[in-house]
Amino acid sequence: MRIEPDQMWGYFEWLIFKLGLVQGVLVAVALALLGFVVCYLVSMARYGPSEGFYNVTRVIYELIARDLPGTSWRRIYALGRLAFQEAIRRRVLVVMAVFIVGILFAGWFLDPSSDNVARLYISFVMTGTSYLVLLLGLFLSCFSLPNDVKSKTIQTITTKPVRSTEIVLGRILGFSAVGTVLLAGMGLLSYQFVTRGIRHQHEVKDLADDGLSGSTTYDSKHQHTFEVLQDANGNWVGTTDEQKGHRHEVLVTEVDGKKVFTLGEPEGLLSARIPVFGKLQMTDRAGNLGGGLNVGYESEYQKYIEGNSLMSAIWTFDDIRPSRFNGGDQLPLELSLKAFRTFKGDIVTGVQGEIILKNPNGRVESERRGFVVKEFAVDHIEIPRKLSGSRDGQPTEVDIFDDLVSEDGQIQIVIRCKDAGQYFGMAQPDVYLRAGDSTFGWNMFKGFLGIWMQMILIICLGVMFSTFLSGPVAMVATMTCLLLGFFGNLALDVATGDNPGGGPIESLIRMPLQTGAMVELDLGNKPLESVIKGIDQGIMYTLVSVFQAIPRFGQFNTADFVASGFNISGSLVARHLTMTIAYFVLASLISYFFLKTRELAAA
Amino acid sequence: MNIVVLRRRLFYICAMVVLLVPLYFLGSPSVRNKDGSVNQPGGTLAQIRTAYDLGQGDLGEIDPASESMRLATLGLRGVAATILWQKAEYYKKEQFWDRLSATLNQIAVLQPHFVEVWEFQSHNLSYNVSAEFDDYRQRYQWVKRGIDYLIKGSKYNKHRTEMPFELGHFFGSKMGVADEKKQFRALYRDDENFHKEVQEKTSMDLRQPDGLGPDRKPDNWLSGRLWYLKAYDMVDAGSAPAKSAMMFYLKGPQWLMKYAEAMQTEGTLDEPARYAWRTAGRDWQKFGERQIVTTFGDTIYLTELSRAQAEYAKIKEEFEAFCGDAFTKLRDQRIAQLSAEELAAWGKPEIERNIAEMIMGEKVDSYLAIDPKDIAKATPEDKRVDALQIAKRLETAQSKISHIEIYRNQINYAYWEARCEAEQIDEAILARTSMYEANQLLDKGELDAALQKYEVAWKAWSDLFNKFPAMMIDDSADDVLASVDRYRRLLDQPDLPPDFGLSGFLKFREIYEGELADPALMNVIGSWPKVFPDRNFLTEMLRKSGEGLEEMQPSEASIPSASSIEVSAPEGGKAPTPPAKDSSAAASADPPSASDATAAETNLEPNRSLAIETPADGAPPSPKK
Amino acid sequence: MSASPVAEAAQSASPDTASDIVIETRNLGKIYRDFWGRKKVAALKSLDIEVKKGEIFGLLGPNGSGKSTTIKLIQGLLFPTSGRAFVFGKDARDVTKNERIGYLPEESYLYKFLNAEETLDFYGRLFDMPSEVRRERSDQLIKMVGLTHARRRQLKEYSKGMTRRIGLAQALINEPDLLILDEPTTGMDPIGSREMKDLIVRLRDEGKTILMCSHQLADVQDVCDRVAILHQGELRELGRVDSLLKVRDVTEVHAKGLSDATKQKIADLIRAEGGEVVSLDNPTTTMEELFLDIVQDDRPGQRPTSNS
Repeated sequence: MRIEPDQMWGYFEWLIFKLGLVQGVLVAVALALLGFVVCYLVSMARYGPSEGFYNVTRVIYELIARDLPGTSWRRIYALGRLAFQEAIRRRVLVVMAVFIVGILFAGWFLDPSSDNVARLYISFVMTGTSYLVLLLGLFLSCFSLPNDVKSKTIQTITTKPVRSTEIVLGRILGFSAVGTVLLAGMGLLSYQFVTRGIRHQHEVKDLADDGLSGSTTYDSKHQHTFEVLQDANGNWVGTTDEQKGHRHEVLVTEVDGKKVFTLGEPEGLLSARIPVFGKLQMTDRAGNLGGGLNVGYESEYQKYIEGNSLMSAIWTFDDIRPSRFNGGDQLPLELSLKAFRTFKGDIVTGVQGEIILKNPNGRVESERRGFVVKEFAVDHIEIPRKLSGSRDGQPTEVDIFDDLVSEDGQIQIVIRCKDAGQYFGMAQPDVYLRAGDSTFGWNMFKGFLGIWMQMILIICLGVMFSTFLSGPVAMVATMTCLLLGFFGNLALDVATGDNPGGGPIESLIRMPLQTGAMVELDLGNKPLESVIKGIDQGIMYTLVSVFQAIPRFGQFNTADFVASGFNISGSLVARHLTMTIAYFVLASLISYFFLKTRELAAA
Repeated sequence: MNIVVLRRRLFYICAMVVLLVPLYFLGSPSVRNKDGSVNQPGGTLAQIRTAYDLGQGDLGEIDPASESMRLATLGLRGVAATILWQKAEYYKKEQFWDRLSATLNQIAVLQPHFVEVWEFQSHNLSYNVSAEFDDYRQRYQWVKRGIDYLIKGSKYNKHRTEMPFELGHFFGSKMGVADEKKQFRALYRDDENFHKEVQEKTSMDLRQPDGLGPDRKPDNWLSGRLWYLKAYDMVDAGSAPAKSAMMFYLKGPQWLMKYAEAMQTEGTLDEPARYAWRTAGRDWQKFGERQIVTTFGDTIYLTELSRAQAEYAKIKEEFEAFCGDAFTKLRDQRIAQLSAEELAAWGKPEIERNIAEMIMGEKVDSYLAIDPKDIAKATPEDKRVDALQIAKRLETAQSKISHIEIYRNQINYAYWEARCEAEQIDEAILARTSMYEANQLLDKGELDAALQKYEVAWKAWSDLFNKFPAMMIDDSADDVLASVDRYRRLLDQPDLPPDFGLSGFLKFREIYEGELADPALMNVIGSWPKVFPDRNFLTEMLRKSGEGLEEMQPSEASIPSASSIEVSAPEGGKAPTPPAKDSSAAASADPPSASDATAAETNLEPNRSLAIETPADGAPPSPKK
Repeated sequence: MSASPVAEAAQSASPDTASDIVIETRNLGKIYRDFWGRKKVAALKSLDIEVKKGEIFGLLGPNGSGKSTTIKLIQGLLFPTSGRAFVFGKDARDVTKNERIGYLPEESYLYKFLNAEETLDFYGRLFDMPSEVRRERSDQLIKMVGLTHARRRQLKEYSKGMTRRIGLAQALINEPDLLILDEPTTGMDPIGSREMKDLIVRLRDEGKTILMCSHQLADVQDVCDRVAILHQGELRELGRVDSLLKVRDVTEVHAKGLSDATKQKIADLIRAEGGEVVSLDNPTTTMEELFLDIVQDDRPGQRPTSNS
């Protein structure tokens, strides 16, 4: 998976330094102003300027002075419960059945020989769940209010002392409750599915070295070899080698003086590593910062350093304390680098590299620790706390936390490629320190929380649109938001001009003219061109601002973390929750205004 | 009810009934007997479906997963597949291999009968993705992924030979040709689980005796051949071949040779190798006797070259006899137009000509090559119709020869035929084993013993080269060169002894280094012992080359310039003239008779051609009578 | 955004808060517009009525005459295009007024998947009633409308009459001071209809104000104290039912057992006295007559046009 830099931010870092709060407030203010102006214009057209202004302000006044204080939880509960019952009556449980059937037949589509079974299984269930739940939210929220208006049942509601706020909140909460129940069910099933799906057993097939090592049977498209050792207490202990991202424990019992081997469950497949990411800098061939090559791949995610040169990759990690690393007897380091060969070289041995730990002050550094690159897998290296190194050029023993970590808690990890003519490729998240593990179940819960938040957003949007649109139209509108939210980046690229070819009008002109996107538009008429570009700019900036206001659904999707075995950090969850709440408030307010100013009995 | 509405409804119902009637007859399904043969052909649609193998049952397995996926896309599976394809491209670009492979499975399940998808994406996995990994074991796994993908495809497309054909290619070529072939082959041999899985999935038994190497384990080349054999069986059962007949049937025997070669490379030099070559030779012969429909429209056999030549000679004789005067007259007319200089040049035996004379001689030859039709037209009127008929037959016979030659050249038929034969003789085995042993001894430091073994080896190689000059251009000859190098260092002398048995070979290699892989050269060398049983290739070749070299090209830079060699077959059976070495000298084939005009046409690069003419005993090429 | 056009209304305390006027409409008008804002139909034209505490007020009119529009305007379900409506002295769009209103819609627009108890419980919650009160009230009401046997059946299984009853029960859940009934007896059999009417009268006697609209003339005639007759959005008649029906220059004589000869004598007598025999027949439903009289032509009636 790819962890984006913004996903490494802490909560307050995002809220304050990365202007999350400011952005949210800006969006809110912009929407409020826009809403006010539009509403005023509409009202003015109908009732004249002063009357219109009065009407608009009166609605706002009523919200603050009457409807918010008058909002009663009992009524919200009643309406929410009604929405819940209605949803159940509308057979939403079918969705659950679909999910169960899907899971039952999932085996047909999932390839058990995959290198990373867990990732495949987790991605499958989480993607499936999120599609189902989002669709569910969409259908539930978009049709309920319009149906009530159509069947006029809304009239028996609004002739009771029910506030518009309560109608909106009741719906949102009721549907959310339905979705939550379903999602919880799906989550439990998913957890079962994943843990059971990846479970497999091996038997011992061959033994060698008088039973000190051996190999297992071939199951689930792989087999292991193992070794057993006698520990200090005379017990035999051992594990198998790592295949497809997991090991098995080898249990040895002695029966009648004979060793009997049994193999445990797969270990390490379902993990939730807590990574500590650092900041990556690269040096060029001269050893100056700012290096990093492209070896010709289309994707520029990884940058490459050349072997046997001064090029190196330097990660700087902050806040390194022994307590973060399980007491600090070891510094667990994980790498997933790419190797790129310019010539075949030694086929049997992989490309080799070395790791150096450095104090950012430049005075103390560790010895060079060699490794062979493991591609498309996570290479786990435990660096012991005490290791040989040098201080001011003098060889000495160094302690990671005492000597190599600077006073402000920083440490540098330098990676070089040793083989001349070969390259290492890496991106910032490819090397990290592993500060322990969270439990997989908890991590999966957080992943499902991401889906849950997406569902809430959909419900909010759906309810919002359904307060002034008919059911199908509201669904299309919500769908549009969903798509823009998922593919917002593409839309933004178009809007900001990162995608070549100009704005909508320019593209429309280019198409019949068959001008390539990279060629300057040439109509032979400069003023016309600038007019077109000007209008396009206007459209694009409008688009950008609209997109800014639409929640990025993709951003809430943290299934990849779970699938790739990374812990979803609390700050990320908190950030998403904050955004969800913000959108919830926003959508509720908009819904309120629409509902309040709508004639619910109009034919 | 309103009468208008009623009338309208009645009209609609009638229209529906009327339209349903033809649909019923068009669409009525075929009735099949229990054995699957068609009892009643059914309506047109059913017939078309049968004709094009479009029924699900006909195409292969009906898979519930695939069917449900297709239902789920509401008939938009084309769109869905396209989106997935783009996704797959993205995953490939960003190197998310697991997801790529998962997506490929989805695509295939959506459109399981789209054979090109299976072919393309399996290649993607086995060749492109696998190469992205640094560890050859991982690479091997991805090769297997591609194979697995193809195997899956073969289940959906039981009657498509493309699947086993590609599998044959993957098993053989991907594992046996890659840089890491040594590792791949070893991994494959011991990959029992994989062999088992393949058998479970496809009932293809890779562990059958025909598929086992010298160590009684499946060999990738032989496994590949088993897949080809399966494809051949499918064709016999009625499927269409995946490639043109020649390319399709070439592979089986070719993989046997590759197997033999691989075995020798890995040090198995004696009986198993000989056996392998014998089997390969037999298969090659059988392949040669297979009927091939050419793109020219006629039918040929690769082995019928000499028969075709004899046929041509017979017709030509008949024709010349029939035309008699007309032919001599035309020829004499043309000779009369030649200058004395030209005549003199042309009269010289080719070996004695200098370059200018060679060019002149060739011009004369082509000038004197008279189109049989022209000759026929020149015959008296009463004979003309018959003459034209014979001329036509002559042309047909001639084009048949050229077609056979084109096809033979395409795949170096003669070379491989000779190679199979050569590898079986005792000299070959002796040459290989003694050289191998000598090298081993040298590694161990037993210099004297090594020296002795080398001597034996050189002698054996020399004999082998004399018998089968084709052996001078293959990979093992490269090994010989390498060993000669070691030998030279062992002797610790700058030059090899003057009586060194392989000096001719060394000279040859030196001159023809650039053209070794040239099909024409391979053809000439391959067919040499058959065409000229009493002439030594090396002697002839070096004599000609040496002369050409000294006269024309003092600088060595441009020596190897010939890129196609041609045996002027129509005059088959005559002694050869050593080939012209120089490009200008060989500017065009030296057609001894009218018939060679066509032969020359097959010469794609006439400016770089090296011609071996076959005039009798070095006499000037002269049309008979 | 459509809103009441009377700008000063919010701040001005509504008139007669202390008085016993429960509903007041002032110059109330409604124009339906199409999507483009073009005027489609004037459903109600400047209606002025007052409903006093403790009376049964009937709105009478043919389909499309503006009865329902009036009721919806009074409840704030529609926003007036002109004029205003007040309920309990509050603007019709103020939801707090609903605390004291019970509404029985034209066809009980209830949630069909709930049963009687759940329905009443749900609406009870909407009045923010604590659970004991809700339970007590719903027991009472179910008994009152006679649905004890069907209290746990889903409403979708109810007959039309049962639906009306549960609708009425729902309207009474909050012990309203004002009851708005839209066609209260439609779909009921004669006995049910009678019961409903008795109930309405009983509720009035309990001190509740009732606004009902109907085209069941008999109902109106039976129970209403005052009626307003609407036609094509205009108020045509308004007044006490008895005075409306009292035709001043017509004398009605009820007699029994008269022979045809005697009838002829009476007719002669009237003629002799300078009167005119309008008809001498069995009596007709006079309300219907009145109604048809108004609806069938636009001839102004000779009856008083304002409430007395």
